Amino acid sequence: MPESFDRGALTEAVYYVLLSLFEPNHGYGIMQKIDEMSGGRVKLGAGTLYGALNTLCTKKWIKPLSEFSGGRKKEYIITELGRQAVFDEIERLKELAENGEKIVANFKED
Amino acid sequence: MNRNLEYKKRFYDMENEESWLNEMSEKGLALKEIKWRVFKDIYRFEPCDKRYVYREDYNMEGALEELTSPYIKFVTETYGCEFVCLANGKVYFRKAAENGDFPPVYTDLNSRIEAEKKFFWKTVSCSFCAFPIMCICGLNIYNTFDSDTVFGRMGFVFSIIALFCAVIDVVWFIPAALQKRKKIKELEKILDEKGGE
Repeated sequence: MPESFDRGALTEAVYYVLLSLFEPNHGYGIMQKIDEMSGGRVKLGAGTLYGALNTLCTKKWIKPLSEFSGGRKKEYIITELGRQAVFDEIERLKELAENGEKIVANFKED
Repeated sequence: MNRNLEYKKRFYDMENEESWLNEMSEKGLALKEIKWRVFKDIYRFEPCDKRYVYREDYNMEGALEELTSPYIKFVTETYGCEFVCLANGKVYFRKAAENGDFPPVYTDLNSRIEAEKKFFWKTVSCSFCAFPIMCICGLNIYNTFDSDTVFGRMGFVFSIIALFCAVIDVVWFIPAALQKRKKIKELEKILDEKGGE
């Protein structure tokens, strides 16, 4: 995983994967959900997604749901740890946006 | 086997190889298998009316066959594509163009760089493993060249292996590692220019 992931800031890919797993989802479903959420801006390849899913499983931020899926495709769901990571990231992003807005606001009026 | 359907090539860059396979598909040739050779690999094709889009990735799991690899299963299920073959530490997929989009396996620079780095270190480790074997066996050339004993003859055989390792090391692993290093630097430069992702 990228350096930014280790120190707490999530990459776009990881952030969107976590968001798309608030409901059980499989590989293709995750890709479609991310495409839809980002309005087609973020498209994940299978290599990127597979790497992200494995790392997130190792960190216990998501878990496989194969025993309940009943289908052929393996499904995943976010865990409590993963949810907390998303909440922390949202707070971090809010802080970034607010600080940015404060500084830029004066210049916008000019 | 029709000789016209065999091509000898060596690619160090996944994108170039993918483009070439896609061009071959445009010409009505579908990839059947790839055989590793020291100098150039042999790509075998078969005539095909369907047009395919090819994608490839590094075989990080070290999969030996399609059925036991979770990654191959994941990609084929996710994209609805087909597994073609495993060769040269890579796995090859294809999807009929009429069956929809087949995006690149890596769409995010960070994960692409990570994959290139893993492959780079795998290549470098293989190269370093071959080197001491090559040196130790190579020393036997001097000692066993005119030996009449069984051990002496065995040593001579090892020295032949050493020469083979040396050829592989120089012809395959070292250029592959250097090309990968160059690619990683290029990708990192793009990532820096973008200010990270």
